[in-house]
Amino acid sequence: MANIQLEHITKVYPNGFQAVKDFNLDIKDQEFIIFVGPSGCGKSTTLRMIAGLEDISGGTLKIDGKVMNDVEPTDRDIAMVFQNYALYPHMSVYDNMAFGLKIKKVPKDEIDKKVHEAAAILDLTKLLDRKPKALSGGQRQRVAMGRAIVRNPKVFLMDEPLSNLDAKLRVQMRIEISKLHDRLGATMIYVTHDQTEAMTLGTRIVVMKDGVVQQVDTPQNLYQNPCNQFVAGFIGSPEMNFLDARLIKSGDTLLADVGGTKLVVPPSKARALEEQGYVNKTVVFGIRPEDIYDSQIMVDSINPQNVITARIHVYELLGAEVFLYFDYDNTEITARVDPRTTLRTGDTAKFAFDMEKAHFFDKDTELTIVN
Amino acid sequence: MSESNEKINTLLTELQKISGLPLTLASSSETNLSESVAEKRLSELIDLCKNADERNSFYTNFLSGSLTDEEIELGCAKYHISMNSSNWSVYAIGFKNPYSDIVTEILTGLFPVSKNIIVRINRTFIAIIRFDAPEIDEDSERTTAMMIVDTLRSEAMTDAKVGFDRPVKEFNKLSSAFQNAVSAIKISTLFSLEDNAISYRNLGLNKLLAKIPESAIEEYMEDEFHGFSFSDLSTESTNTIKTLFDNGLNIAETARALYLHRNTLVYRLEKFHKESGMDLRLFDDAVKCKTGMMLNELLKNKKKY
Repeated sequence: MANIQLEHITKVYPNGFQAVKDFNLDIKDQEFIIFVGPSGCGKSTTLRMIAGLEDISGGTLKIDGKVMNDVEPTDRDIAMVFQNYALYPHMSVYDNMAFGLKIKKVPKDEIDKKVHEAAAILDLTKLLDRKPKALSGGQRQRVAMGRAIVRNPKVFLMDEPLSNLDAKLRVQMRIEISKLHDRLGATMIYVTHDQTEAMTLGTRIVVMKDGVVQQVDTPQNLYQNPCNQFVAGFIGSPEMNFLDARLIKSGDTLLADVGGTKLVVPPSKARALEEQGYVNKTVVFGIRPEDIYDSQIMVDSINPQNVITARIHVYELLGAEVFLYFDYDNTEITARVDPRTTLRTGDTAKFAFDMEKAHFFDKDTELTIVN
Repeated sequence: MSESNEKINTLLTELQKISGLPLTLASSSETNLSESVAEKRLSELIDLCKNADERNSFYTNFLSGSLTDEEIELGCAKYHISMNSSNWSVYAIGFKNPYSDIVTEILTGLFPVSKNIIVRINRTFIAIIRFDAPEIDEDSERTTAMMIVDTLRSEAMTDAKVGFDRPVKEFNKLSSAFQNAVSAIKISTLFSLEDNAISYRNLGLNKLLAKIPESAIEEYMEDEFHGFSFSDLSTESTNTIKTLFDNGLNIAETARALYLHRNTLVYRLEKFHKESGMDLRLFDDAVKCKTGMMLNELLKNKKKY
């Protein structure tokens, strides 16, 4: 398969808009890389530059060490899958998969071999004679994948391929794509705005915002060690809670004053904050919803100074978990708790913050001070 | 060379010219065709190609609005087009560079000839006429347009913009629908709209502003913004403002969409207020800014294209 290098890649549109700025990434053979970020962050533009559908304004794109900037899309040995895929309505599954090769005048026996191989990988062998209208949504999606697989490309590029599917099929196809990556051992680049898709599929994730790469890391590291407030907020659902906190010293202890409650900062984090000169300054304190506890055991076991009292304004049962929403210091806070909780909307309750899991960010630069 | 062989060669050259395909002459032992049969088949193919070419010219001229009603009627009769179809729609597909033959093959696969006509307008424009099209809403039309874009991207590895207008009940009105679809593509280019599927009906203010002459725009920009340049805005500022407009000036929604803390968004808006004099939380200033950004884009692109 293929290694891909993006070196100082930029995209400036004719109107002067800089869609992608100094993008650097080394994608290893067989990696499953995800580009994720909000709408307009430059993720699809980057993918289209790799595909050759967009000109590269600056920098170098290499596939297997060969510079690809001016190589025609058809000569880059890539295959693309997009969200609005269409099957040829009057052709069988076999012909749908073979069509791209037929118009490229690939010999018949070679087409036949490739289609059958792809069908076997995608579990479509028994459906090869069917017409698209006789297929389920998931089967259609697999045929669309099959059209890409028969090309036997070095790289697969996927731009939000599951966006048009309903929630159930989306989960199913997510698993299929993951299995497909394992089976094909291909290099894949996948664009999505959905952080759940990113976290579940990628070996590494590239988080982008305003055309700039924010962080490239494994899903686990992005979640536990975000490099800035944006990544911390973007990765994870429900998103991380953020509150302004003034750091004050009380004897040997560093306290984070959040709306009048003085939370005790654990020594390991306190050292980093003190060393970087944040004492007597306001920082942003971040805590994930699952690191806020409502159970009596946790409330009792956690330092009582790290416990706040608040009135729940929304109780949301999701089956395996419950989200409790309450306001604190004029900010809406979300806690993810056990579904056996007895708390309901309107109750006033104690919530304990697990400060070992707290994150602190610089208020001006939004960069992480300590995770 | 026999007389028959010479005739076949002449026909082959003619077919090559019409079809643009490289053709070579094989011996009769290889093809199992007698010379007379080969001659007949080639003549038939030439007629077919000529017919297809004439048919394409008819549709091109019709869609461009250069035929009289009488010529349209004659053409419909000649090419067996039933003007009684109840519902017609047309998609204009525009390419940055000349499209390859693969593109027309893919489109023919997607839109079978029984209910569709693929018209090669020129080397960078194709039209798809759909007859007896089902009564569809705009969302479905958009889905079809996006499907064309994405299929061409993945199968032909080429980028295209697809414009469309509302379906029409009479064949004669297809021409204006097509011209609107082409306008939609042009207007979307002038305003650097990101979407590749463009509905003429949904262009709203863009349609109106596109008609303003350059000099009038320049005068307005100078009078209203006193040298403040939208082109100097950073990507971050531009994205923030666009997201604020997309979220109906709602600060909480915008902060959520940008994954920002509310206070950070407010700080950015205040900074913009200081630099430009426009407080985007106020409706009047927001309208002024939105119009200014659109006109700035239009002006830059009008100079370029």
